[in-house]
Amino acid sequence: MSEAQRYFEDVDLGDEYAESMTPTPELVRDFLALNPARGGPGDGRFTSDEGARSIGMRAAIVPGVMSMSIISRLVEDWMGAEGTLHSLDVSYRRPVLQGDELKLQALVTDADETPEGPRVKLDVYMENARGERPLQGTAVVELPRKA
Amino acid sequence: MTTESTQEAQFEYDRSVVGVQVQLGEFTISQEQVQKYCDTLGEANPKFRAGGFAPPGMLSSVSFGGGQALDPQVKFGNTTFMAGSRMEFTQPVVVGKPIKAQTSVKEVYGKTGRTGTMVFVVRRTEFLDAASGDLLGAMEQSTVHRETEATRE
Amino acid sequence: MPDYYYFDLHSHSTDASDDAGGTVEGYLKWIVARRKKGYKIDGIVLTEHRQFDPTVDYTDLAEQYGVAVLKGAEVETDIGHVLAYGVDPRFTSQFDLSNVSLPYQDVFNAMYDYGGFAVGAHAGRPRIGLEEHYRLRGVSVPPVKVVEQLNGGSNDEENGRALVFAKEHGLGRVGGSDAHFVSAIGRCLTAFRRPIRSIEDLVQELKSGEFFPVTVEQTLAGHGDE
Repeated sequence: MSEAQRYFEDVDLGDEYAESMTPTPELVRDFLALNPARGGPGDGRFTSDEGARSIGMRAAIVPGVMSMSIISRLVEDWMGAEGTLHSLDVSYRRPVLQGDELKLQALVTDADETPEGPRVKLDVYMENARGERPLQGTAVVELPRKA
Repeated sequence: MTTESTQEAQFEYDRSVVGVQVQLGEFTISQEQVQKYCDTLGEANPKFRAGGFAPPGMLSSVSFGGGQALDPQVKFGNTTFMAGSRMEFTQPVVVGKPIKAQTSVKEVYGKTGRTGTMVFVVRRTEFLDAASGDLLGAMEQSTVHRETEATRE
Repeated sequence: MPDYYYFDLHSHSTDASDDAGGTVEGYLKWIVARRKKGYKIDGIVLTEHRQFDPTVDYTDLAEQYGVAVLKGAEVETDIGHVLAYGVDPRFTSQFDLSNVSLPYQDVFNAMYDYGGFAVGAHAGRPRIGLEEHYRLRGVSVPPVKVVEQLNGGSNDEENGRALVFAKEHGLGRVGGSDAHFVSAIGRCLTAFRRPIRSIEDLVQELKSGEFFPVTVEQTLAGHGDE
């Protein structure tokens, strides 16, 4: 995971940034514990394979909010401390199964100097070992210019 | 209850809750919460690790307060899933600064897609600086109601 | 080694597909950037969901970026989704494209009769691909002649299932990205023997049977015959 600062001048269309992550049952449990008041849908889909199978899933799944947070974190890592995340828009196209090794990817699809500042548009997605992209979306980030 | 029709299905829901804004209450994000969130997700950005600011994505995963969002009571399918999320961030989220959250059901609609007919509920939640009322960010979450079968394994 | 012309036969844009996040211009910028890295993508076909708008014209954008942009449609039938190329006004008069359960044999036959071509989309995908409808319900494979075997939105198992199915039934095979987002465009393609500059050219090539599916990585080395 990167802690480097990224600058607008260094960004090119087609640039790729990737990390890998496995959302284990332990990580999901820790994530759910961040907001114990919120609760899940009550069918156990996030906590047991059996619960997930009751709604047609193959195994326990990762909460959508957690998948969103994982992708948000990817973008935040990519942009660095002086970057600003303006928007993140994702669609959940397939379930993310707990224990799946995920490739997290951000790709630069546009970089423009706008009246509001230098904006970079990213495509973001998760890809599992089965070749599926269960989450796909876009992010808009403002990056600093070099002094 | 209102009855809506799509090409393949009818569904009922409580239309009276659409557009009604509900206050969820006030909350603050502590540095300890930020630390736990960063540890869980592997967040490395020093802006959040060093203290002072919360990762914006955290707004979708912390407890907002005691208020309850209105339920349109959609009568369709046997389960729900998240279909999509859109978050917009307009100001940094400062650790320890009170935040006010308010939410509304933006729309309810039926659609037939690749897995059959589904009913979508779109909720919009806004996060405001509790003192100034300035908008910090907003989240639109789309939940899908659909029919699914249990797997046989 | 012969030259091939690579087309993405399946894509969706924000112009007409509400589940898409990619703009047509975004796709073209991305293709130009891919070309700089050595990939070969000659054109795309926009196959928006359940509709065909004959008035939309991408000629200026296509010329600006040097990428062919053709228009088709992805319609929905009782055996899954179908990609339609060369959509004739008689076709749109005969069928309500917003109907999600069109009679597939009528759709395929009408497309052929009106001078176009139809392809069974993402053939290995559950519910919306032909293979499962054949396996579980025993539907007739004819009049389907070509299926989208390599689909960018399908997983490896689903694309593998489509490959076996196509071979068992002697069907032609194409590839398409099914892109909804910019970086997915051109991920899966169809290699043709002759250049394609219009939808009529594309229909002609599909009728010729001389094509095969490829991944974008396979265009790097001037991928040869299968």
